[in-house]
Amino acid sequence: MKRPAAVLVALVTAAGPALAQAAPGNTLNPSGGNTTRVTDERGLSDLLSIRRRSPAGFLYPDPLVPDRLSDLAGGWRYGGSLEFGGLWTTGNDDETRFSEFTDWSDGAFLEFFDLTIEHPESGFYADANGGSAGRDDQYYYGKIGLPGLVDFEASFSGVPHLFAGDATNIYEGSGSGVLRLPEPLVPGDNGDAEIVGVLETTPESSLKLQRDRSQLSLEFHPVTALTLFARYSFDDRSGERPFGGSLIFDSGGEPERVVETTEPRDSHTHNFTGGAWFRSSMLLANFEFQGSLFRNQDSTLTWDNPFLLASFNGAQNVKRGRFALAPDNHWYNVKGDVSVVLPWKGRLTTTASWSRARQDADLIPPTVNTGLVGFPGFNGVNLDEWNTEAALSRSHADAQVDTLLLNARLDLRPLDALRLRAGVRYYDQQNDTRYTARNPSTGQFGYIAEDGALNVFDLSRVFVPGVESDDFRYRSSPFDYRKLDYEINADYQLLGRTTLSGRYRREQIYRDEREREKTRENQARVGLTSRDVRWATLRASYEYRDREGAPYEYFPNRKDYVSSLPGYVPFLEFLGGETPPFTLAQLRQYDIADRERHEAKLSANFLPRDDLDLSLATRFVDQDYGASYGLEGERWGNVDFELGFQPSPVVQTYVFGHFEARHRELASINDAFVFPPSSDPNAGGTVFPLDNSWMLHTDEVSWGVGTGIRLQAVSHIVLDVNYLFVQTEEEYDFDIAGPGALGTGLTAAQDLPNLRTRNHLLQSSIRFSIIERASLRLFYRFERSTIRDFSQRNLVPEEVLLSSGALFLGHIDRNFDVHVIGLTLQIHL
Amino acid sequence: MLATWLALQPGVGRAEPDTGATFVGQASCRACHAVEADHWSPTVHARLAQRPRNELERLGCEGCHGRGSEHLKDPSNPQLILAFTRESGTSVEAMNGMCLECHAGGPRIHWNGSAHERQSLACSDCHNPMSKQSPRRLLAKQTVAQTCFTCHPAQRAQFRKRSHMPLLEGKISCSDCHQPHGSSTDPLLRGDTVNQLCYTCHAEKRGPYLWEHAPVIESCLNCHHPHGSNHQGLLIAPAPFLCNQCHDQPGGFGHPNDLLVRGNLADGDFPDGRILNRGCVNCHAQIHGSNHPSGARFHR
Repeated sequence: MKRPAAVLVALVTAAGPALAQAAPGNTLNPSGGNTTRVTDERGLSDLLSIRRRSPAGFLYPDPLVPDRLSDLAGGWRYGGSLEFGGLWTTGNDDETRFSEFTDWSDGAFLEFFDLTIEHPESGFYADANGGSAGRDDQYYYGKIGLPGLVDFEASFSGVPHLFAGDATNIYEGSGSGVLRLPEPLVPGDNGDAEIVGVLETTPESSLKLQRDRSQLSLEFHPVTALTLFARYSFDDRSGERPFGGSLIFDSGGEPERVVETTEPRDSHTHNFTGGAWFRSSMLLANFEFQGSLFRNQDSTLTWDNPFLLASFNGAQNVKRGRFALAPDNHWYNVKGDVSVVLPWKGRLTTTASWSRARQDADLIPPTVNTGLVGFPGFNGVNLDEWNTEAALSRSHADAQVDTLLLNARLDLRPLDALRLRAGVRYYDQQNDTRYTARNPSTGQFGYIAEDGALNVFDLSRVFVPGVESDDFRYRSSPFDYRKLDYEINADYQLLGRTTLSGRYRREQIYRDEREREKTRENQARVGLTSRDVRWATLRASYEYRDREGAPYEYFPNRKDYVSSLPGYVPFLEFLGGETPPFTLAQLRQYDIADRERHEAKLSANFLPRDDLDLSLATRFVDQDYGASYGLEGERWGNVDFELGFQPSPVVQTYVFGHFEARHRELASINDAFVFPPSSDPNAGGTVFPLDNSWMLHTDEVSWGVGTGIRLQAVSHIVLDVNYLFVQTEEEYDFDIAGPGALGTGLTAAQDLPNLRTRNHLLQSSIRFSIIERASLRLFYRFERSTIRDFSQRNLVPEEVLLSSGALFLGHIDRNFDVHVIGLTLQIHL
Repeated sequence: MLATWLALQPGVGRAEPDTGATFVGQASCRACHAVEADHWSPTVHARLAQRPRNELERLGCEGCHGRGSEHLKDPSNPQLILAFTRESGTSVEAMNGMCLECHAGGPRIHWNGSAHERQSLACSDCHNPMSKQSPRRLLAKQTVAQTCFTCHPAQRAQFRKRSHMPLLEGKISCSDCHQPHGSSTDPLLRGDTVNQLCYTCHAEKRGPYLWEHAPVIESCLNCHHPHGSNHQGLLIAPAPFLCNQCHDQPGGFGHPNDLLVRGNLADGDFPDGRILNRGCVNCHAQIHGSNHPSGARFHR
């Protein structure tokens, strides 16, 4: 469905159904609420002198002036408002990060509208609102119904996503599934100087994606105890985004040959949900069915090879590369929850959920190219034997994953002061997808790596029994896992509103095809919550976790590699060559490594005065993976404070601050060139000598402050000013045992430049009432941002091509200063 | 028959304190609480009271606040009426019990024992049914995010980082991913797993693919910070160091386990694509999984 049609669906059904969760809005109106409303000077109440706080102790914001409805004939009432005007930006307003999710186009715009119609006697009501009409970030919401009986909702939200405003894209057909080189370039036979010539005449362009989401929903309450509901959402995405495109990676001195292509996105997702909720004094029950259908209009991306890879071994035959893009898929889920009342003020709540994800897309041939590539008699391959469906071991993906969740939680209160809980949760993810890369027409295991580019040099991914080969994967591993958690909790009421809690939890995960078949983690937590003191609410907790597991097998998928096949011969076997190790045996992948974790949290909100809120929150986490290599450990912590001052309904001000620090340590060993090849996987061995070891220390510090004030004078003038500053900085320090830790040619491990961002954001508006039902609003927004990112430093496409062999789009996040000015007229109907 | 049986089911137990009071009617309440009534009138609860389906809804104010006759006699005694603020002295259990009388079950079926319930949060900590402050859901503040940031300020800072979900831009809300009223999945997630939740919007990542990347299918959070990050694509660390955390495969020629440093940047002596631009995914573009018969290493 194209975009106008998607908008139409939502608009038409604004008189019919829409969504439940997402509240559409945009940058200028994040809440999607009525921008014309002001604070009610009467406050929450005219009876009480004290300001009201939530039970946790936070001041309630003073309410907005309620919408006024006017009478119509027949007992109908209506009300509405409108804000429209002009918007202008100056400065670096084409910078990607400024416009990432927002349409800041200059000119007239509709900031907001809403309309309410109701008929109190029958109960019928209809609400509609929206904003930014006609722009990429437009949003609409509508709801009609009879309260307590039936509600229809409809919503639409446009989400622009700008990836680059400065892409140097030499390809023709960007946004489609076929990228062609412009003249005079020809696929697979261009020198770098010729490509640079084209780059120099290619104008910069934008890469962006538009996501439009329409949602419809219906809730029907035939009786108080029962709710039936149905929802449908339609997600439409169109555009393009930066993507990869490799031909030769760093495989032995040859320059990398990688192209940054653009992936087309023209996809739809249909989501369906339906179910029922039932409740009685003894029983609560939910049943829900969900379905999701993803449909991609572009199943492949084919791009011309801009490079001349070499002048031998059929390099000119590597004319193109081809991706298989995200296939159509579908997912279904059936879920039921039941909760029953038990003695001892108890409750047992159980959940069962089953789902299936499946895709069965037509598979494309292993390569798009034709002809011979590689050294004859060694790694030579006739691509004509691999570029048709006859080269596939099966024609369809036939990929499927089933999941099952069973969850039960028991809650009992044997004493007024004691509460006990126990829970068990079992999750099973079953992957039935195993693909074997085998060409039935040649009888060979393997595939064509990078559309034949690898074969031009010295590698191949086609296995020939008896011929020397490196080890590579020829069969997929169906990763799946089963997870069992169980826990017990006790809460003891020490005082009237002070509770001490304790929890023990054990998590066991059984994985197939991973380095560890089983991990188990013990978790213990103690916490305290107190509202007994009049002037504060306090929360504190400490949690300890300890994960360990089965022995770590550093090469668990050995059976899926060609070294497991009969006839496998490692390189240079006749000289004693062995198969190089899959990886460093002592490296630990952090998601399954041993781990000792400490976490402490403290939060407090104080009530120092009747009109003042002060809150503090801090958290500290320390994780040690017990690994000699890989991610060794990380620590992070943050402190936040906020002070809110509401002396009267017409004066509100706040200040907040945030500080966060994070430290990570990563260690590894660069492998040494060993002749003949060795299979030694151990640290300190021939392949991974300790002289090649290195360590990275990363330190991140982020902090920010914000403040704002809202003043409302005599209800005719409203001033709102907010300022925010945020800075993040990451420092990368290296330790190396010797120059062997580094890549070819380097001898010193100079630290990377710090990664840093700084942002200032000032937002202000002033609103004047000009007549009873109309106001003028003038708003001003200033945004200044600076950024320093080493991965984008001096990323000039022509220069990078000549120095590293990579053809990038050249997008760089840049510093920017942007001023936004808006003048609008607000009208209340 | 089903409808009849359902209609006969009793409501969830009422949590009103026994003060011996009687109902006085909404007009009596409005006589003193005119401002509150004015703010309440545009809310969904007020609409419900205009067309009540049962006796409870017909009670209006007293449907939530309890019988008012004793309060009418002694308005300064907070024990004689059920209020939902800190200063009222009403227990959180009693406040929540009153709300759950109508709102038990459905999306709140896991409320009992949930993280927020265990922290003694009251419904009225996040909601203010007395005023239409937010466009929907009667929140205490104007947006879901503002409401959540009250107690979760660190998340507000995370959404201000360079790479973030469009939450502050009004395009998603915390409650798109989290179910604050309880869930069978920690931390209050709407899906059975993190991935199932992420696939709701990122359905193209769902696959299943011919060639899967093990940590990807187990949890997106192995590589991504969901709220915000200093790195592109919400990554927890920049490439190649993100990948170095798990990969140390020898290639004999330093791929991918050699340390990349300043000299490997675009203006260095030995530029290396693995630390430039998109890093490792310059080549391994299909890192979330490949459906290409030659995609074992996610190049296609």
